[in-house]
Amino acid sequence: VRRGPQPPQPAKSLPVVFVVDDDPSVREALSSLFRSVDLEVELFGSAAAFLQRKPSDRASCLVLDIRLPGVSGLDFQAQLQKANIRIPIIFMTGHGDIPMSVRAMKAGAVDFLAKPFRDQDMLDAVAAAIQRDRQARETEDSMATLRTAYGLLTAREREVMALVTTGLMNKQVAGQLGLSEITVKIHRGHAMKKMNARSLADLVRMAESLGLHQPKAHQP
Amino acid sequence: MMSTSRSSWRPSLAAILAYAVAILSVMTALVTGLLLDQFLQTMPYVSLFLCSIMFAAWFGGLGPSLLATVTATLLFTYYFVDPGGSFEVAAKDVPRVVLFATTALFVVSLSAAQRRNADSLRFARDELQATVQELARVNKALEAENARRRRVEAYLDEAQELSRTGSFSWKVSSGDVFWSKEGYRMLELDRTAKPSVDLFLQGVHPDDRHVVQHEIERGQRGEQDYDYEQRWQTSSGMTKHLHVRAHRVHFDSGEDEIVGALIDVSEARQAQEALHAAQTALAHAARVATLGEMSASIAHEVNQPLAGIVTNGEAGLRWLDRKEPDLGEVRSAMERMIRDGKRASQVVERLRALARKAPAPTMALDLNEVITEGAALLQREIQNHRIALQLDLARDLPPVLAGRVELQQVVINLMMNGMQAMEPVTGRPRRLIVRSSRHNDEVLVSVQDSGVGIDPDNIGRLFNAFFTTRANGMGMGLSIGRSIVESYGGRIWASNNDGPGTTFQFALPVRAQAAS
Repeated sequence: VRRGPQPPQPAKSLPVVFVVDDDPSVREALSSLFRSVDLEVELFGSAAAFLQRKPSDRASCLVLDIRLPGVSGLDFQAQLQKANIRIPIIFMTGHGDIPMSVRAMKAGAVDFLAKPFRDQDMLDAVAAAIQRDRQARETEDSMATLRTAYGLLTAREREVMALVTTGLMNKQVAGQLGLSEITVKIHRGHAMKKMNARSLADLVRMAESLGLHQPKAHQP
Repeated sequence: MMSTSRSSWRPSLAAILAYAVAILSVMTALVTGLLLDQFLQTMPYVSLFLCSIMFAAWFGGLGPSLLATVTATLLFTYYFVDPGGSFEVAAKDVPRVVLFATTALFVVSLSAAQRRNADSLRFARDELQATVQELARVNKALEAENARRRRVEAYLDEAQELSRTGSFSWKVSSGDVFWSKEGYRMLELDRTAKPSVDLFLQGVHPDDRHVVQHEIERGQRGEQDYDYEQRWQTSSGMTKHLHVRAHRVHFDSGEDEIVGALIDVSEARQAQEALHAAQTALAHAARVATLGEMSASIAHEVNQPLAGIVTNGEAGLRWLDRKEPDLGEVRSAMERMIRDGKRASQVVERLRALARKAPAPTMALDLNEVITEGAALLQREIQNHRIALQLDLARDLPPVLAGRVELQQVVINLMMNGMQAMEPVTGRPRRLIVRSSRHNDEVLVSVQDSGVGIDPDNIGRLFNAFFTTRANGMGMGLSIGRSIVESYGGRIWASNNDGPGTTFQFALPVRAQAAS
């Protein structure tokens, strides 16, 4: 694994660009390009080398050659998704291959650049990818907070929260759960507090985020 | 006389007759003399006796004439010397008798000499006649022989013309050179030109002169056999290919000559050249087709350094445009651009060599280099087919004599073949092993795949033109591969592995010079 020189600021918020290409020339050229605009770069000769690296907690994106020794870029994209590693990918290809680019874009690639590409196109794509990753990370962060909070609810509080956020009145909830209206009110108050919800609307949004109303809802 | 001497003891009839005639002629002379004496009173005895002796000598030769002389002398003594009627001789008549006898003997000797001369003349004439007859006979036989020889020569000329074979001889010691009618015709030389080594050398193609010179020197050294080819430039500017075969012939006389045949092989050579040209064109077409199959990989191969150059250039500009330009970064970006530019041109050069129409010249080749270069060209193809390539190359491989591009074509073709055979394979590793090794006087290259293998029924037909088991295959690759390998004196074959897949191998003779 080759690493680009570290930027002077060790700021955790600074983004990093990962480049996976089996051609050292292309790797080095990309490294130079990204560093010239003060982006941090890490270089990898193969998909396997990239996988050995610890997941980054910084905003990042992956610049990936579609033809790689061993595993192709598209297969690698699928592998990452399977392993639940979400990182925006910018594909590079030696020659414009339309079916491949369609597949890549459908699978969620940020962009698809034919070599040789314009430097601005690459930088724009990288900027967009990092932006997307940043947002995804923020969403991920808030989701994590939500899940942590949700994890603190008691089973009864969760039942109450799930029913209340569907728009049922306290009385109706009490009827369904076989509780008194007062008890429902107390559980609801605890849930609001634990979830840090300022209003019922807030709680409804949180329930949606947690997917409490979908049949395939993700349960912690 | 001759007859008596020849018929040893038994006198022949002719001899008896001769003696009888001698006696008779003497008697006739006596009777005539007596009669003439009686009636004419002349005494011509001496003349008549001499005449009879001469007659006997003329008719019978020495023996009968001597008999006649003795008889005539006795009769002369008896009848005409006193006292007559007896053989006694009076003292006064002794000279007469002696004179008569002497005269008679003289006549005999003269006659004998004359007769001898006549005999020898006749003998000489007879001999001459016999000789003339013999000569005439011999002449006739010679004429017949000549006619036969002319006919044979005509047949030979005809055969030489039909077979485009002229004959020649060279007596090294005297420098005498001969070549046949067809030889003249073939060399397009004027029939009046006197054959010579120098005249021959003048027509030899300049590029082959050293070859012929070498053979002439061998002739002068006394070597036995000659077999070589040369080109000949006719006066009309045409180039002919001659095959010369000769050997030294030792004659009983102790002299020896180099006798041989000049064979015009121009047509065969032209056909061979045409075939070679066709094969070269076909091989080229196949190479171009292979390049077509590899086009995606090639585009990548060329594009990669180009992308590097462009990106490095752009990055360099960005480093320059910074508030504080980083010249170190600019410099290394430019160095990478140069490196990539060179790399791109190497790729293009390799491809151009493969696409080139004219065949590469035959040279001493390291097959390991050919294999490594072929593998480099196929690198992308290998990746795309997800193949694990293993090169197992022998060290210190002796060189072989062949064309680089052609052999690269064979290697690439076998590797492509192996990769295509592994395309349907999913359950096991796709492994392609290329090996090189030396076996005795050959260098062996094998390409082993773990593909689907070959139906044993088809293994014999693999190298036939237009034989293919692939839906979109032309069936030319292996057949061209075989013609290339065979043109360098090698062989190529295929066999199924003990495990899955097939192994293709070819062997080329180690370059003679390097082997010795």
